[in-house]
Amino acid sequence: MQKANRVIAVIAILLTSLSLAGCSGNVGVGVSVGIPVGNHGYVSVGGTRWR
Amino acid sequence: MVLVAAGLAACTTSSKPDLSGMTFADDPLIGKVIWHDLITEDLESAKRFYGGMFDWTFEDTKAPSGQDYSVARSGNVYVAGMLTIASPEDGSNYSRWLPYISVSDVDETLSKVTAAGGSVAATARDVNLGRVAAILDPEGAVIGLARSRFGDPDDQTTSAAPGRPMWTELLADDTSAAISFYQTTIGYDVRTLERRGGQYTLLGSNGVDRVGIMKNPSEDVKPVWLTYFGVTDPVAAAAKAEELGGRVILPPSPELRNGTLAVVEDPSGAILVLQDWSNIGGEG
Repeated sequence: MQKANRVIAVIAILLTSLSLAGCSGNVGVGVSVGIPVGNHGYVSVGGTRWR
Repeated sequence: MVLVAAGLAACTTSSKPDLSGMTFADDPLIGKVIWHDLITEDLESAKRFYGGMFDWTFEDTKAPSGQDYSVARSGNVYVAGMLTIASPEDGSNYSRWLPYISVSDVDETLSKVTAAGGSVAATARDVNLGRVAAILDPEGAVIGLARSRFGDPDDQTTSAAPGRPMWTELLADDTSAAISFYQTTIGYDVRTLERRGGQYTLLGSNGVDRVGIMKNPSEDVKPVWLTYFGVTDPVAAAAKAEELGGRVILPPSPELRNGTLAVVEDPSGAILVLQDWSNIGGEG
């Protein structure tokens, strides 16, 4: 009986995890990409390129 | 079982995105930028800045990794996400806008990227939008790849308007190599224009220009993908950016695309371009 309860509990947790993972509410991405960015101030050096 | 019921209930009620203001193409619009994430070191500051700049509203949620993530809407159209990232200890800055390009198969495109000299910045994974990854091109510019499970927003939904992303552009050190790389990996068609500032290349598909490539203006700037946002008045928008804690890098000037743009940094240091929304295409 205890074993059956344990199996039911594990299945319940798995189903909950799957349901939450697959259905969280938004359309976004949210992938963390940590690549250093340089000094954008220098964009202004070549202002003529933007003409 | 109560937990299961609660989880399923969350799926079918309030947690579903409201896509009623958007329409989607029947087939993937290969090469189109279909999403933009802001990677920022200060989410609350970013929300104040972009909310003030573009009248965006926000839906707070969590990224797959558990970090705070906020999805922005312009009117009834989802336009961007904002993700918190911790400040690196070495003092460098990670804040950036990261565009995601629609591809037919993310994993297959990653293979093409590595074969063409690029590398993987974030491995392929399934997220709310669909399957995504991020890459570095051979010069180190970062861009995302996506295959949306919702379909790609059609061009009417993403048409230029104040407060919407309206153009995406690469500043490349070697424009010929960059054009070849994106042509090979994404499958773009190429069109090059001559303008006052030099050559400008439009990459597109099915007769629609999707992104631009221009020569990097300075050796001190790392090659970078820039996101243009529509504004009504670039002069007023640049002033507003400063008022909200940003910094103007290139102020509007008659010399620069007839005064139609300004380049600014947000409070976290992410760069963005403010573009007169009625000047569609961004290439001037």
